[in-house]
Amino acid sequence: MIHFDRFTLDNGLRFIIHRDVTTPLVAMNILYDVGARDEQPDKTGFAHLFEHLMFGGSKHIPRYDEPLQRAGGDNNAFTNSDYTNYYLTLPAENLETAFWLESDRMLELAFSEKSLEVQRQVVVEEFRQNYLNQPYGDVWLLLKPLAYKVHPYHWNTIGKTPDHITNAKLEDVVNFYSNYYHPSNAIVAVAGNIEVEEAKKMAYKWFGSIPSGSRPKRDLPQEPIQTEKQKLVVRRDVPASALYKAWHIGARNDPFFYATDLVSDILGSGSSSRLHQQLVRRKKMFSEINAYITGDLDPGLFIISGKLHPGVDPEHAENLLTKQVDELKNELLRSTELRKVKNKVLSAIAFSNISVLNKAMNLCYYELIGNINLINSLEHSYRAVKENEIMEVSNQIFTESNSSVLYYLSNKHN
Amino acid sequence: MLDRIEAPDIRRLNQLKINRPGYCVLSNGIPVYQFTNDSYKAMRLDLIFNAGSAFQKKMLEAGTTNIMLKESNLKWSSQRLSAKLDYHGSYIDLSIDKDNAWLTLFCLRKNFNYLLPLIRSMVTTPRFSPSDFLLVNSKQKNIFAINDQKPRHIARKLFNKKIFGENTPYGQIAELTDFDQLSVDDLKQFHHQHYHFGNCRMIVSGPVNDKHLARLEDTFGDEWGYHDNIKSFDQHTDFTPGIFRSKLINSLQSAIFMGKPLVNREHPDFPKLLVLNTVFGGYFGSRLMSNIREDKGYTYGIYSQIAAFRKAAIMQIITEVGAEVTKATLDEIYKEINRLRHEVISTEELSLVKNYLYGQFLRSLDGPYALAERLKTIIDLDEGMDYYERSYRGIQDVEAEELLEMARTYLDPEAMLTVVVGRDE
Repeated sequence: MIHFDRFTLDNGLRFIIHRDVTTPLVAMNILYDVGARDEQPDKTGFAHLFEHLMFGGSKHIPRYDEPLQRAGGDNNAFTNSDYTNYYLTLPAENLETAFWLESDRMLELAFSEKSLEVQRQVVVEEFRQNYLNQPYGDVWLLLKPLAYKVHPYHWNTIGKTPDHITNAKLEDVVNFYSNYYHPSNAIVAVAGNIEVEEAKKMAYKWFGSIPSGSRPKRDLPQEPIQTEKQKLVVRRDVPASALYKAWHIGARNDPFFYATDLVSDILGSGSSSRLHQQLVRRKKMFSEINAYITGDLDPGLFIISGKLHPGVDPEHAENLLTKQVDELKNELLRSTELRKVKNKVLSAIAFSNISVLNKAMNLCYYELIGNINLINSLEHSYRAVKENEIMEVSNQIFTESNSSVLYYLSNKHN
Repeated sequence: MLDRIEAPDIRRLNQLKINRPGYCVLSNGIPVYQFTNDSYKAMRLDLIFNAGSAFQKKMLEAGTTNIMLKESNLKWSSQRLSAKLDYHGSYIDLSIDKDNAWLTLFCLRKNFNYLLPLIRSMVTTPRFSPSDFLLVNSKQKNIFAINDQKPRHIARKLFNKKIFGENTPYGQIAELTDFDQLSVDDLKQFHHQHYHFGNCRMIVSGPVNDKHLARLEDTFGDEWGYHDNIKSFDQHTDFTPGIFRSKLINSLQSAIFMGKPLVNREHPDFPKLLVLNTVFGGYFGSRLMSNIREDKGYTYGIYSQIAAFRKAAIMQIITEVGAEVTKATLDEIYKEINRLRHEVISTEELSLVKNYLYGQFLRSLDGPYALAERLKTIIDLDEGMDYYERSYRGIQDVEAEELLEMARTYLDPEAMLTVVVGRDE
């Protein structure tokens, strides 16, 4: 059982404090409720670029990293389609340094042309390194627009193209900050070897006087129900052909979320999974195959991806894959198989709630999705899934018209 | 009025407390180290063998032997084995480095005792069946072929050959064709020689109790495996400095590796070099990062690190930069090296780095699994966690003048090996 205290400052900033005395450290996690889905279609990649700029100094503190490192701290951040997350850990005795630093950059960022110019270049290099200069690096750049036509998930967090990054203006930066970076659009979690009352006092002291902003209204175009299968074939200079098949699924708060996640484990997680046993081991079509869900807050995707052996016809491979998926629609699975995937999830949850940093991240995330008690009840949500739900959800998801398929073919084979 | 300009006082609990493991020896002599925390629900078990790539007679032998422990054995088919492991919610991590090979089990406490005999069958009686081998080897070959298109991977291979010497245990680097030379007989032989009780050490961490230790004794306490005592190898490093380039016509970036051999962990200079490396490129605020990423924007990241093995250690600088700024990056790296060799590091910067390293020690030693990971890294030193105590003291005692001396002794730019892979213009 993970205990936590939760309170909201007058300016709307939500706080979660968790005490753990088994560690000499403390973690602070700050989640801003803004992600790539909030970007304009002609200015994509901006939320992530902005995350880089958050390290360029704030109103009273010229450099963010230096004082943190001097206090023994370490930090990082990530951006995804849904939100932007900043995190740090430091020796518990220096917790106040974290409050000082994070409150100043929530109060007012120091904007500079130089910082923008440098980080534009850094992010373009990140774009090249991870997406353009890598075998299979552009898969998501192809797959997302194939599956999403309307919803902003149709572009990736890194952006549609490096040009969008290069074109970012200081004016955009200032507007983005004032729209999204203020107390009522953020959640802070502090976890570690601290007195709860002391942490509370610091919360009021450092964050209490930051002016409240108005929480931006989110009115995203929702993806209409897909009525026709989408297909894209590309050829690339890669050693093996690959196949990606995606189906639309529900949102994170959809009641079927847990059943959907377990379906992905039944099909493609680990070497005892169905796809691995049938298509890697028995039929020897794929050299590797995986199934997973994107887990996005808005309706997401169920993905099966695999690398084909040389000479295997991708259509044939796709048919066999679809046949495996269809079995879940027509036959009730055995209870031992369901228990197997649940057991695996339960151990993963046990491991995910050990470090104070993970706990702080999880607490913010569950607060964001409106159910902080998931930190303790997540296990139960998975345990509660029944065999017939697996069948029901499989029937909902796995239709051809709901699918998008990408054949990523090697120039050398097939 | 709240003072937001002045940083809060930094406090420092100077005494770093490093937990020492519990220790016992199974009746066959296997040492078992234990890091206990009863509040955890989950356990971790590490089995560590003298079976890293330095021991192999043939390329890929060590890694493939290790990874095939998950396949069929005399007791279980690979299908049944993976079903059992998954059913009991366990995760198995198999990997090797140059010196050691290991199997790590993660599971809930309640399943630990049940899983031990399965682990035993994996380690002691793998079948190495031809069909399993074909499957595993083709998958590994595929992964390798994909990596072989990445500038960083190509650069790393070349760098490793040149820094250790191609014909030495540490310098042997596999190529794609080596996958076709490997046979199940090689793996059987390698397993026979290296995976046995005389070659094994264990670390168990989490809510460990006496019953768990008794079960370890029951399961692993006999004289299993062939007892052939290959515990060592000779590494006569054959270092070739100089610049080596490999062209990748369409690459948007160049991968750069630069470095040279250093003294080993046992050497008194080693903790000083750890500090020097941190200043140079060992953290986000390092000189390489501040200059080449945060000032110039040439790269997404640039790091220097010290890689220490049982019989050798090296320093390496690693980055991928825009193809058009390859030369400019090399110039800046040299500039930073020369600064370290000619200017004394300021008190301010040095104290920052020492504080940061204090935090890094806390982070890397936080909780039983992290402690297990740390012990695993230095298990060959036979010094246990005392090593970290000593290393920490060495780090905190180092003075700026000594770092200048370290840079002059160990970081001669003329003596460096540089590998550039990409479209260097």
